[in-house]
Amino acid sequence: MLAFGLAILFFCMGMAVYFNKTLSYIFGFLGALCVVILGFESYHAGFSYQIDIYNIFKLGIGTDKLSSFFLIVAYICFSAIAVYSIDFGKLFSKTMAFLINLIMLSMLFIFCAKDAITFLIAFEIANICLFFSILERVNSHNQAYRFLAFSEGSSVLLMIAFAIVFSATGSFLFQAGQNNFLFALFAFLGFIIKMDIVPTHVWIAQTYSKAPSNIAAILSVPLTLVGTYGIFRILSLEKSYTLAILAIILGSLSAFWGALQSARETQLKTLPAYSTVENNGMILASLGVSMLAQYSQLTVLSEFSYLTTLFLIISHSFSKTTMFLSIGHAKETLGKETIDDVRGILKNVSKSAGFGILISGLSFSAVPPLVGFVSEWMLLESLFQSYKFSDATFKLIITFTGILIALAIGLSSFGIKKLIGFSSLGEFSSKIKKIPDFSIKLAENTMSALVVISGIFSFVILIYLGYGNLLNGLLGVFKPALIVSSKPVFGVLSPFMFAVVFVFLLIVVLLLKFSNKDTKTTMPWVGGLALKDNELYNTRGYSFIVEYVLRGIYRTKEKKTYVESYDISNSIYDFLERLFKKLSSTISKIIMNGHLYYYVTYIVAIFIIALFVFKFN
Amino acid sequence: MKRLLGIINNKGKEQLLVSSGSFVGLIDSSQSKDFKAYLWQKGLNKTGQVQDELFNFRLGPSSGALLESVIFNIFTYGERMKEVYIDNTYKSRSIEQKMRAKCPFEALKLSEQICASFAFSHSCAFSRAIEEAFNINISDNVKIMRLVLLEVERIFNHIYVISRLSGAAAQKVLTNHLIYLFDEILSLNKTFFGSRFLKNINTIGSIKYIPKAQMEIFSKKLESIVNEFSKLYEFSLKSHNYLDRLYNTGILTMDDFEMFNFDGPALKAINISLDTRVYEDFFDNFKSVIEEDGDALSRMIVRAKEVFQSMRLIKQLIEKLKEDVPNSNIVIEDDQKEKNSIAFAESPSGTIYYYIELIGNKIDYVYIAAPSMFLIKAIEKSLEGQIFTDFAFTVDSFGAFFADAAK
Repeated sequence: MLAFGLAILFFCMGMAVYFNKTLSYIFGFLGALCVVILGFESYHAGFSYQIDIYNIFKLGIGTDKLSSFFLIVAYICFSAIAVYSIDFGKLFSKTMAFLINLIMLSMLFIFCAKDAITFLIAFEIANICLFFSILERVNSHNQAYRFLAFSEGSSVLLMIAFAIVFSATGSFLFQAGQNNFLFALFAFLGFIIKMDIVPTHVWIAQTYSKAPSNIAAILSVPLTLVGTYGIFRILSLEKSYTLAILAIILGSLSAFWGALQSARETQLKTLPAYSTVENNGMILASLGVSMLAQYSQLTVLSEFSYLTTLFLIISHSFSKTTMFLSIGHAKETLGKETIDDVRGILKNVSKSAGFGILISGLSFSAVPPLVGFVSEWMLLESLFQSYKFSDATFKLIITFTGILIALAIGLSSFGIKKLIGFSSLGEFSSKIKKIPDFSIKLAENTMSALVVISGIFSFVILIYLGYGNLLNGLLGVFKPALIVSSKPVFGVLSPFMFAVVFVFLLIVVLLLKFSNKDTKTTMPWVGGLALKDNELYNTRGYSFIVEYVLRGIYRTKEKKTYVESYDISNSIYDFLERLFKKLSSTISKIIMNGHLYYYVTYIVAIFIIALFVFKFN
Repeated sequence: MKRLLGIINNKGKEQLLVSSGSFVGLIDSSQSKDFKAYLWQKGLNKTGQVQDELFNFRLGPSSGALLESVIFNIFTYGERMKEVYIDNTYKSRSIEQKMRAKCPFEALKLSEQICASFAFSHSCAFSRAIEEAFNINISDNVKIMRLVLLEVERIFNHIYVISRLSGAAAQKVLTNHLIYLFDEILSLNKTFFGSRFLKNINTIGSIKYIPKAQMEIFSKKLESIVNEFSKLYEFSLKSHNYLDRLYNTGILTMDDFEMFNFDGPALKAINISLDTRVYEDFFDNFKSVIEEDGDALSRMIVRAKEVFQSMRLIKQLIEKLKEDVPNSNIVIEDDQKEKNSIAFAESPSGTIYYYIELIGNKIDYVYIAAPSMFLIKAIEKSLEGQIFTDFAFTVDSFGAFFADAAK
């Protein structure tokens, strides 16, 4: 509780001193650190506090294993974002410092809330703060309003869900929603919007791209963790096969769709945005499998899938935060928006930003022993065990999920390699704007290290989370460095041993390199002339083969000097937008047509309707 | 059908060298709007400017895939070539400049250096221009021998181009056979005329003397090679894999002709012929070979059929040869007069035109309209929208030589 109190105090102080941005972010960092400590403290012994409001309804806050886990992960990312913002925030107004502290404060209450009122108030504050944070970038009204529209859509669904519980039990406590399918269904839909699950993801491409990078990192990680946390809560309250299957189907489709879109993207922040859709899809699908296994009495598989979900959350959170922070660094330094324009980050901008993109990208591409590899291996291991289900429908669903997820992993790897290959490792130098970057580099390096460490020492995380029973020693790998996916053994993995072998081989390679003094380095032959700027292979060239092969899905159109392809799920919203515009235009033409008698009729009609409504109520 | 052959800009006055039917001559540049090809010949077309998502995939100037030093600037976003700009300036030797102030006999040697494959065509067109300027009468035997050797040049060139084309389309066995036949003809040339590429045979007003009997032997030997080619060609037409690659690849249309004014087999492949052999005196009822589809396959078929046609023509021409030794003592007097002339010869890939201005017996100005100049623009156009796989056989189907275009 001390950590909880201190966190609130630091966040409030951060808001109070918002005029001094550096101090404000330092307080924000301290607050986030306190929350991480709170998470670690309460993972094994949570706290709970409840009050009665005039004996009408009860409000409560507290932590349990689940909320503690989310607090740890979300606020490790927040800590990095706060440190990063010390220097990065200098490029934006003081208001941003205030807003980030308020977001961290409100999210603390979201994860600790035990009732609908606290949750919804905190949820709305966070949404509104993020809305204003997006507006920190000029000409971003359209993107900010799109975000707000989907956030409010989520809020409305959650309000309906909680209203259903209240009308049934007279309580706002989450616990009151147990075994209430209707509540679970609305809340489920509300939370998947927050997870950017397809087809509610259409706002992200433009908004992530426009928002300042520290805000994009919040949108991508802590905010989507709110949605994930909500889904965890709902599925623990309502043991419904329908929702579990819905989670698996929506999750796998979302993972596939996000990966598919990231494969064709060439914009610097839109590609990771679609990667978020893919990752959250995998998280949702994995959780659905875990729940389905639990309901089917497959205890070990359920446990392993649940752990997989937790690892996917860790992997996504750490890697995506690293990626957005590093991309933001490069973007601000180079003042460019596309991947092609930020070539050579590692060489020209900063080693930390370059390595940040490289390490996080490799993690998303499932390169061992990084945490992304561990989590994606675990996910495939979970899905490969579909044969254990006795129900043929479940087997079929999970098998198809496995196919979609495998395709998603491949496509995502294709897309991410484009990002790291061109931006971080590319060869090009353009004009660099020097920005203060000590704290930026500190945050990037810390997060990059976490991506590596959490992969290599994944068995330690398993032990801490209480899943030591899934560790073993086999084939010369010492106990407990080997993760097993089932009992009896189905699949095994030891990222730690992989790292040991990797380091050993690296040393051998380095020794060979340094011992051979006669090694010559020559530039590749390019026809006898130096390469010009316009002769560099670009991201469109890289993606075009996918866009061409999948032209039916992407609606690819080849123009004279560019390629047009797009996320067709946007067309649903484009259609709705056009419909509402036409509808409002038609109505305005009928009612607001400049004739006085139309207005009088309208007022009288409203008066009569109001009269009837009040009279019969 | 009219063609803009070039823009003549001597002594500050711009004129257009044009051909229309049997007319070849200069017209005033005020009529330039009648020729769409004026823009690129004048260098007014904007080419090679990368836009949006295109990047330049540069091939050359020195690359294993290329026979000559040239740069293919291929603007693409990956699989498809959206815009192509060929820079052949690496092959430029400024031969037109070097001919200035030289006597015609010296300049004749330079004309043979423009392009080995068309050495005889260039030599023939140049000699004809000088002979016209100085009213030099040449015997029928010289005229016939020139026509024979032009057809010989056509045969070995066409076989060479088809071998390149089949090589590009991965028909390696066919390619090697054709290359063998090509080299056999060059060996025959060396044996009978003293030069593999028919250089140093033609001169102004005359030609190296070869007895008729020798020419008949040559003809028989050549015919056996052409028969061999015929078998290979018929065999190649049975390969669907080969034909599929050429069919519908690198298509050109009449609009493209109007824009770029190319001729030769590339034009014949779209059902139009501007073959100047119809104006030659010694051909009986000459009829051009034509095809309809305008693609790489049609261009190959035109070339193959022309090989057989040329063989027939050679036999007819040799029959008309007489046993008289041509006069090799041609002297060009320095009369200090200004004169000009235009002449042409039908090379394997289109007509070569020479416009020459002389002062006395020295060349003052030369403009050479080489067929490859036009074919390069046609190649650029035909590559637009094609995928990279089609690149090699689209380019090789034209039989263009960058040395010929660069001059």
